[in-house]
Parts: sequence; structure tokens; C-alpha cells
Amino acid sequence: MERVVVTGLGIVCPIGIGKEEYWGNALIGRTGISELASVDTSSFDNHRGGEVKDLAALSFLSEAQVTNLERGSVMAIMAAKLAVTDSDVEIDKMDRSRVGVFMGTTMGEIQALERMGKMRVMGGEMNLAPNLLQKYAAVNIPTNVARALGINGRTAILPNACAAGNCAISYSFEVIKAKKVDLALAGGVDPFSLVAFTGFNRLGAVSRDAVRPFDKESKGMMVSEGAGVIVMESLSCALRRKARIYAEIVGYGLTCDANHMTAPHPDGLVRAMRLALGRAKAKPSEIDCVIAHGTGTPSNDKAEIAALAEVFDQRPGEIAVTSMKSMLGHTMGAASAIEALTNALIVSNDVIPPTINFKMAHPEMSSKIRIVGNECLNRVVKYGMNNALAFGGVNASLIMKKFARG
Amino acid sequence: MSNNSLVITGVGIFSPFGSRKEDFWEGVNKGVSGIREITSFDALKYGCNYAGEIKGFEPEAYLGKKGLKYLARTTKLVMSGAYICLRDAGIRSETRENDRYDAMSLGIVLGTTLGVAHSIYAFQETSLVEGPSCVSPMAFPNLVMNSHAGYVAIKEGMKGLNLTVSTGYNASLDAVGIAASFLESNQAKCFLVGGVEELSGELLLWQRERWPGSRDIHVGEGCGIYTVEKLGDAVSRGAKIYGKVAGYGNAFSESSEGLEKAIEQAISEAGMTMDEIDYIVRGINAGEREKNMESEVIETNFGHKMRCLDLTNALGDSYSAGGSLQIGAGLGLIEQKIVSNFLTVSTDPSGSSSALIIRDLSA
Repeated sequence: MERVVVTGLGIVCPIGIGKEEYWGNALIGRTGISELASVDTSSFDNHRGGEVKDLAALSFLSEAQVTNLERGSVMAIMAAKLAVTDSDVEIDKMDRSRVGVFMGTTMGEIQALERMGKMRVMGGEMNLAPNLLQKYAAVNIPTNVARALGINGRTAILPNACAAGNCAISYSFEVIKAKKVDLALAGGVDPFSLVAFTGFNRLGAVSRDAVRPFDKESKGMMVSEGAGVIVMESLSCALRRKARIYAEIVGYGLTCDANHMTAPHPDGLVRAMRLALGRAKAKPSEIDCVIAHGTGTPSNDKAEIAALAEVFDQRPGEIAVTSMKSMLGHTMGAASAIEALTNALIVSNDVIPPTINFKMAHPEMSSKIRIVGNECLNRVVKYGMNNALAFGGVNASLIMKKFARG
Repeated sequence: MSNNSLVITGVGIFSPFGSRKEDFWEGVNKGVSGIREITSFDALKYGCNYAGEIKGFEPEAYLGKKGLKYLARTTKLVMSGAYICLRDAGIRSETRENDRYDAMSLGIVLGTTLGVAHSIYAFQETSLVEGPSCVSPMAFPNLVMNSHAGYVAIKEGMKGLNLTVSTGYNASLDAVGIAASFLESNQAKCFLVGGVEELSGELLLWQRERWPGSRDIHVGEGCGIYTVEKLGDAVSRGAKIYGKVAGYGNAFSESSEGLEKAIEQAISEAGMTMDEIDYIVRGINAGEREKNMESEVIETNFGHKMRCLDLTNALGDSYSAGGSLQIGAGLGLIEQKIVSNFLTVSTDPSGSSSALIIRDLSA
């Protein structure tokens, strides 16, 4: 069985395009939340969220691509190109049929469907712009990435809601381990969705001003957008091309609560974390940092705090926990991919980005958990974990380890 | 044959030929058409009134009446398909006393691409016409593409991996390939796999986009759900075995090379040669470009005498569900001992192609 390592990082999100800008802003705790500009929120009580304000797509794609492709594909291609550049891999010098693209998403190319819906409501079913349903099909996202980067291997998109990025990375991990591909671009993407914004508002899950995960005053999440792609490859492939290795992916756990469509249950996440630990052959005491799902909704906080306590309470010493969503908002299917990418940066740099807007810990918080509040934390991280929970009761936990040969 | 070989042990099929696998196999054998006047909703406003609609679908028979009105037709199809399949496989029983596998080791990989398009539009319409505060919060969970698989997990108590794949025409074959990867690494004991698309105004609008002006092409709906597990496990619990999942491939290309590569991978994984392929169940896909590409690849690699089955005209183009019906048709041929193995293929207009080989246990 092959070992699987992370050798390239590409990100497009409200606090940065590209690893350098993102990481710099993440470490100083910059928020990506602002008044929404791309959607009309006048009929809502909430007007804030996360957006990539200046996508600058033309720096990455041709004018024709920008015109013809939907925003999800554009962001995914940008993140993929950034990841490939970062990894220094020359795909055209590889066996391109052994390079794969595995993406996750919540809503897919939802903006095409939203435009179409508006036309149908306004003008009926007969006068619609062409091809909007075909553009909506999520299959376009990985295949557009493959086309843009000259990749001919396996492609797939797993629309596993807000755990989709980790699901795609887990599948990618298996196919690389089983030597079905040598290298893969894996991650997640979601463009801003008015439908999702409407739905979360109607569920009463949205905060009006800021996201405060694990805080006593946490009020809700914020809808956001973005794309995160990592280059994953077999260790032998990485060593052969003398690649820089950020981290090794050592384990994952995917489970389903089979309990409720939207309300998370701690048991499912506990099982996902324990499966990931088992596969990684790591003890709970060896995990130095957890990037939590950390949406900032009271129901998520409660379930996640309970699950973390169950898995980590017996360990000696505290565990550092942070939430990237405090800064980015909830980038949906991209979220866990962005968090996995962040995990690779944490493991390779030994610094943990902060959970911003943090004042006082949630009353149920375990004493073993240290929320990295407001300022980044310098700490040696040998093993880092990132967790994701999703509608449908899906839980996905992923563990990376500081890379060591042998 | 290794105990780690993956085998299919349960079948649940809803198709325009009917609600039982026997109806489906009979329809395939007789070469009848499942295209008929649409009755489940007012289709005329989409400029179309014929399609492959599932005959006699009564979800209450499998799911009871409670809570059904909040569920999309797609969800009801998948839940009903899963219900039948798990009982056909002997994994779930009426009394639950003889249930096999614990909840943690049961997973699902479901293929669908337009599975929530209708629910999203209904939600959006309410929001735009009546205002965002008028949408039902109960409707929102039904808008995520993995909702169907989530409902199945709740209904059947399945706490293992729960994945959905939206790779267009390839989705059902990819669901099998993805499940195979996770079974091979022992992440679950048994997966439900398959695909679904519902007949809806959205599917008719999609048809109009894809074939503007055409009156000869029809779309259809369908749902095929199968259990896949390891041979050793299936034998030890005395399960009936429909066939062995021998090989899977998927590749991307602008040309027919993608499909060729996918077939090559599947054949190599199956440890077979092209000559050993008995039969081909062709992609259910009314696209001229994909159809021609597939014909060319079959002709070049298998010759013009290769026995093939194409159900596109009989069932209508059912997009992501098509592959699941292809698998079902092939299993029927194995079941009736008409073939000993079959290759089934799919090509999506986006450029990706998949191939899957299933064979009987004689090999």
C-alpha cells in the first residue's frame, strides 16, 4: 500500500486567493465576512456573509472560459491551478491517465439553477436561457478542472454537503493507496448560493453580525463561498520528483448518524474521529490540534463539544481546537477541503490560526479543550485533525501527520 | 475465486417497465417500450407529454404513509429501492430479527445529478413569489444532493459511509466503483449502490435543452439499487449471489479515448481480455455524440458481431439513473443464464466515461 502525502495547496476564499495571502490573513485573524454584494438581501433580516469580492479569474483562465463556465468551475480551476503551481508538478510530463480529480460540493453549480428559477418565475417555462440545467450538473466541476489542467484519469464529484471536501479527499486517499492513480487534485467548492442563504435563514441558523464558534454567545453561522484544492500523491511519486511535502495523510473516518437530516448527533462524529485515529494508528493523546467543523450554530457547538470531550477527555494535557469558519463563514462543500489544506499548513508550520470573535467559552466546554481564541498559537503539531459534519447526518474526520521518511 | 471478490446480493429496480425486478427483466426480454403519456404531473406546460414514467409506483407499500408528503419523489424512489433491495439480499427482514450486518458496517453510494433540481425550484418559487419567510424550513434539508442517501440511512439504520456521486451519465457506474474502493480497504462490510432520477418538469426542461426541437427523443425516470459485499461474507450468511463485480474504470478525455481507457482499466482490473467479454449493455444516453463515440469504440475493440443491448429508446434517457438500469438489465441476463458476463459503459457530455464488468460465479 502506498503512503499518501500532500504536496500542493490552492485556495480561493473570502480572506485570500492563493496560499500566501490566505495563510497570512488566517494567522492574523482577518474576517472574510461583510455586507453581501452579489445577492439582493433586501427581503431578509440578515445581510452579511462571505464572498470572494475580487475573483480576478482572468489571471487564471481565458476570457472564453470565464464567459462560458459557471462560478463553481471557475473557482475550482483557480484553486486547482494554484495547487499545481504550488506543488511544482508538471502534469504533462506524467502519465496523465493516472492523474485524478476528486471534488466535493454542497450545491454544485447552483447559480445556474438560481438564474433559471428566476426566469421561470418571471417569464414561464418557454423562454429560458439555453443550457442552464446542463450547466448546473455538478459533473462539470471536476471535468472542467481536468480539461483546464490536461488531466485524463479518474474524475468524480461527491456532493456530500458540508463534509464533501473531506469525503472527496478520503476517496482520493483510497485510490492513491490502491495505486489506481499516482496523483490527484482533491478538494471542494461552492459558489455563493441564495437558496442556501434562504434555507439557513429559515432554519434560524444564521448570525446577524459575526460567527462565534464555541463561544457562550454563539448565535449562528454565515453562508460563504470558496474553493480549496490539495495536490495528493503517492509518497513514491513525490520522492521521485523531489516534491516539497507539507504533510502525510494518515487516516480518515466517514460515518453517518442515521438519526436526523440536519441536527448533528455526537455519536457519529465520535465514531468518525475514532475510525480516523485507528487508521492513523494514533492515540487521542497524540493529536495536537483539531480544526473543528465549528460553524457557530448552537446545535453544532453542542454536538461537537460533546464529541470532542468523549474522544479527548481522558488524555493528559489540553488539545488546541480552532474554527476557520469564524473568519471565512461557512464555505459549504469547500469548507472541509479548506480546513484540510489549513491542517497541512499547521502541521508543516507549527502554528495554529485563531478562532476570532471568541470571548468566553461555551458553558459545556471540556477543560481539556483549549479554543485558540483570537490570536494564533505557536505549537508543535505532529498530528492534526480536521472534522466536518453535514446534512444527511454525514461526519468526516481526517488526520494529517508531520512528514517523516521511513 | 477470492473471498474478497465483490458480489451483488440484492436487487431493487423501479423502471418504466414496472416496480419489480421481474417486470424489468420481462420488459427487457420482450423489447417493449416504457414510453407513455405522463400522468404524475401536468407535463404539457413543458411542451412535452410522453416519457418513460414508472408504472405503478406506490411508496406507501414499502415506507408506510407517515411523513411521505415531505419527501421528494426521488427520495421515495431511493428509499423504496433500498427497502426492496435490502430485503431481497436478506440483510433486512420484516421483523428485523434476522437483520444482518451491524449499522456501522452498512454504507451507501448513490448516483444522481438532477436529484434535487425539482425540490430546489419549488423552494425558490415560494421564496420569490411569497417571500423568503414563506418557505418551509422542512423543505431545506431536501435541497442538498445527498439528502436521498441520508433519508435511506435513517430509515434503514445505516451508520457507515454515506456518499452521493453526481457524475452525470456515469454516476451509477461510478457509485459501484467508489463503493468497491471502500470495500476493498475494509471501510464497510456492505454497500447499497445505484442511481436515481425522477421524472419532473426539470427533467423535461433538461430534455428540451439537450435536444431542442426533437420529437423522437424521450426522457425517463428510474432507480436501481443493489447490495455489494465480499464473497466470503455473502457465502457465510448464505446469500443468493447475482454476480461478481469484476472491474471498473473511469477516465476523462475530449475524444473517445476516455471511454477506451475506462474499458481498458475495467478489463485489466477484471483480469480478463477483450475476447472474453460476452455481452455489452450500452449506455442509456440519447446523445448523438456519445452514442456515436460508443459505437465506434465498441466496433473498434470488440468488432461488429459483439452482442449489445441498448435500452435508451425503450426506457427514455434517464441520465444518472441510466447506469443503474444497465446494471439491472445485465444482471437479468446473467440470472437467466443468457450471458456469463457483461460489460456496461457510459459517457457523459462533460468528457468523462465509465466502464463496469460484472460476471457470474463460474469464472
